[in-house]
Amino acid sequence: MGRRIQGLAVVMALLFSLILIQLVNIQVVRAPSLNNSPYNARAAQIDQDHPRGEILAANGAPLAISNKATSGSYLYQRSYPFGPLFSQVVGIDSPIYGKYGLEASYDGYLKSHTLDPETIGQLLVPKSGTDTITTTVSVGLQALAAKELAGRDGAVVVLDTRTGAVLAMYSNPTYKPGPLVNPSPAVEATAWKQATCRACNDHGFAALTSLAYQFTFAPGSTSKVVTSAATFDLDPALQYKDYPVISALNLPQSDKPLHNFAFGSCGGTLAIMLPPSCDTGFAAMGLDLGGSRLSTQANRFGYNQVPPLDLPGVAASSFPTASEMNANQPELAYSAIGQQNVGTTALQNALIAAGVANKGAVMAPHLVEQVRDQNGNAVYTWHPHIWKQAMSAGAAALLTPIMENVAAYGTAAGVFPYNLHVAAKTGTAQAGYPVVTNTHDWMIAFGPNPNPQVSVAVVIPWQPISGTGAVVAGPVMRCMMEGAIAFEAHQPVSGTSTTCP
Amino acid sequence: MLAMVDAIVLALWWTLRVSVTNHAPTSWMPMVLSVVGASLILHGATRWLAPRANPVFLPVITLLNGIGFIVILRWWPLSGALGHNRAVLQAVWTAVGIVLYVATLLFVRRSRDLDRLRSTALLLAIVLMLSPLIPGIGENVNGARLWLNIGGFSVQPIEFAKILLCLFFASYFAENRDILSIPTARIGNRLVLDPRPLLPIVAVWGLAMVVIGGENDIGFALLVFSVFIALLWVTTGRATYLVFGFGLFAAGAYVATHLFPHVSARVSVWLNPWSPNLIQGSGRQLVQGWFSLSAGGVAGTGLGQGLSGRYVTDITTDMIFSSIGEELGLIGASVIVICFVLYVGAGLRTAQRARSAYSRLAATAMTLIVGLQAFFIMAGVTRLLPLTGVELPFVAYGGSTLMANYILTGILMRISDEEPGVPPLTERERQAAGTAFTPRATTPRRGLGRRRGAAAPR
Repeated sequence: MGRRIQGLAVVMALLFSLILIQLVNIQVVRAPSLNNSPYNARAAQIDQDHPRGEILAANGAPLAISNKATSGSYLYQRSYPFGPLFSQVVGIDSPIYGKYGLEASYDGYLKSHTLDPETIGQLLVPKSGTDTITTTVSVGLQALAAKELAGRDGAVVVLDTRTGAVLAMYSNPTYKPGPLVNPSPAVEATAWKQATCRACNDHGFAALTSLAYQFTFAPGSTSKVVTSAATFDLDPALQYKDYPVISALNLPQSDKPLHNFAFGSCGGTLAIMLPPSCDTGFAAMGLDLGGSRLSTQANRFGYNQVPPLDLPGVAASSFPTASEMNANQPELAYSAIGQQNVGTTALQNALIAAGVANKGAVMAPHLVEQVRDQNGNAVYTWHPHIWKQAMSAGAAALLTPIMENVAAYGTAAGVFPYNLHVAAKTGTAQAGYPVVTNTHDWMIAFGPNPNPQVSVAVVIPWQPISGTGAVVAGPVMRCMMEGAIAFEAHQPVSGTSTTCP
Repeated sequence: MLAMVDAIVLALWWTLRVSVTNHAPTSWMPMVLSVVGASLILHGATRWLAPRANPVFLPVITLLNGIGFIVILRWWPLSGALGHNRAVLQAVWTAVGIVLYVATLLFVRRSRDLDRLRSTALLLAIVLMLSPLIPGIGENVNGARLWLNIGGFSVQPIEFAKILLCLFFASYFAENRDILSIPTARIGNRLVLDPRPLLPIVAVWGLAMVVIGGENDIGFALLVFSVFIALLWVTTGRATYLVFGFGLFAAGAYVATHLFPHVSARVSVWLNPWSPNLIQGSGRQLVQGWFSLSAGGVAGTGLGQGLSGRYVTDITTDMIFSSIGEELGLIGASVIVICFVLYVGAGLRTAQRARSAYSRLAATAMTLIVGLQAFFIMAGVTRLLPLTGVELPFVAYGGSTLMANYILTGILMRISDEEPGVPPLTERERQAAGTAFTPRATTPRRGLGRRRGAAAPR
């Protein structure tokens, strides 16, 4: 009997070891996947049961706050006082669908985290707290952008050219963040469906995706700034070449000639051709530069790289490679005028304008100026730094007056008031394939010269074929530029004698 | 040892208070006095009534009971009306349990007293077992008819019935050892086991089925049946019984799965808890229990920091192990497992060294009840077995289970106290001593022939 009791002891020991092994399996081996299981609501619960830091605009206006919940299954309720105006920048902290925008990229500061102990008591039982994030965005400029776009799909990006600070970044379509942080799963699900619905928009844009930094469009003639920079920096002799006045350019490897806009005729040197935006001349210049120089210059501005903006999901703009363009000469010609396979975000185009304005140096774009803890001490401060040295200061100094002429008597003539010294470039990209049905209307600009402070990019896609950058994007650009300059001077961004109403 | 365990329990309590209220507890005297007082009573009564008993049991059950109480207190903070507060009730049940423990030691002065009460035990066990089916006092909770409602208090009679039933088994087997293990019946010219003594097996099996069917308690049926088969094997050493028992159980399980929806639901949850139509329904408890365990990781979230209470149903009863795994982590959960290993080890050691066949079997049975019950529920929570609604002994909330387990431990302590005072030398020790001074006379059954004569039933 004794031996069998011993046997029982062994069996029991084995059974209990099985429990221990299974515990290790659940609590250690499978813990990461279990913790991230879509059925596991704990992470969201922990998140929603603690206060979350505030996100503030440049002037201290709250863009995202947490309040004690009065109902529902969570202890705290996130709210966004400006609603759809900032949703694509600030993002959301949805219990079900996760975090987007600044809510995602600065989650580590925003969420309740343990603080460094200050007393012996806190060493044993750590205190937790949240940080407050101050952004660079101006509520006034953002609202102005929304007002000027007037519900049309499109994007506006305003940058401080000297620091890379994003002063405004607004795009349509946008979404209401409130329902997406609603404690009711049903409300959240409906809002999510709407925010991700592509069929709900005439052009298939889902509201959750920002047209300002997550979507690329052919930049059209705004790309001639890149081509010009390539000429000044990489093949300076070419700036003096006098291109013939023609209305169509016969392209190598192709029987389809490249026509000027509205079949007009133009030609001359770079300085002559940029204000009227001569397509044939710049296409020929592109062919003269060659694929290697053109692609090098595009990449120097940041093409084919993700701009280091502090948001998740920023899209890279695309420019064909040197070998691709060398092998396909028509593509090289079209790339020189921002057509075909060139795709640019509004953010990238604002960065290009900012680079020219800032003596060729593109500052790294950023949204967050400072993060402060509960005691008001800065735990993170942005230090402006150069992202790309896109062109030499000399080349920028040569290009700026030519772009001023675009505003003075070129394609952007009449867009700006005469006493506003702005350098600009319009773009009217043909859209629709294989038949061109619409235009993407662009404008980029920087000012006030001679000491530029801000750059602006405006894109309004899928406009009628009659639309041009100056006509469609111009009025928006004018208001944004005036407002941005007023913002830098600490004046109201609208409603004054020098700004839009 | 007891003092150390008290210190651990009090430290856990302090941590919980600090974690929940953010400051040290303001009135700590009542808690300290009751924990230390309970230990002093347990210790004093044992020194008085069973001074030679194995010293492992008390610290182990104190730790289990203490951790269990802290976890219940964590989900039932002391605020508002305390009449239905589970932490308060558990404290009361613990006090009653300690009194019953002392009473057991006091009234059961010799284990053979229990042997004499065999028929009474059986009768009482059957009455208790069937009592929930009596209309009027029987109560239905969560689809299982396991409770008696007496004067507003719910009692789970099965918790007491299982002890009586196992004491009966021990007594019956001890008396019928030979007839159960030596072939006496003749079929043709072959000797086979007399089938008549096997009748109880069938009877118990039938009883288990009745309980499953009528009261929906798979856990209890599984427990009693396992202890029964294990005891039968320990008594006779015949593997046939094991095979036969497992066969019967498999047949019963198959029938039950197809006959009773309650059982088949539990089996399908066990087999596939992640299936989309179960995960938010009947499989939710198990899956959320796993999420609790995984949230704890190695070190746990810390007392008062877990979320089990919001997601896992029955967090202080069936699923208390997942709450421990969450807030105290793998370390805390392992401590619980190790406590049961120690309990079972001490219990089986007691059984091995007990004087009579009856006390050996009784100690084995008592130990297996605690050990297997702990295993079944921990295996259920970790999905090694289907989840059965048995309580984690000493840890989970429940007056009946707590009181029953204190009585059970009292019986084990009594048997342990009766062991020969000087532990008999093992064979190896004897060989090491290598002298003719071997006290053969006092350990006649541990003769040298033991190894060779292993086939003979002992």
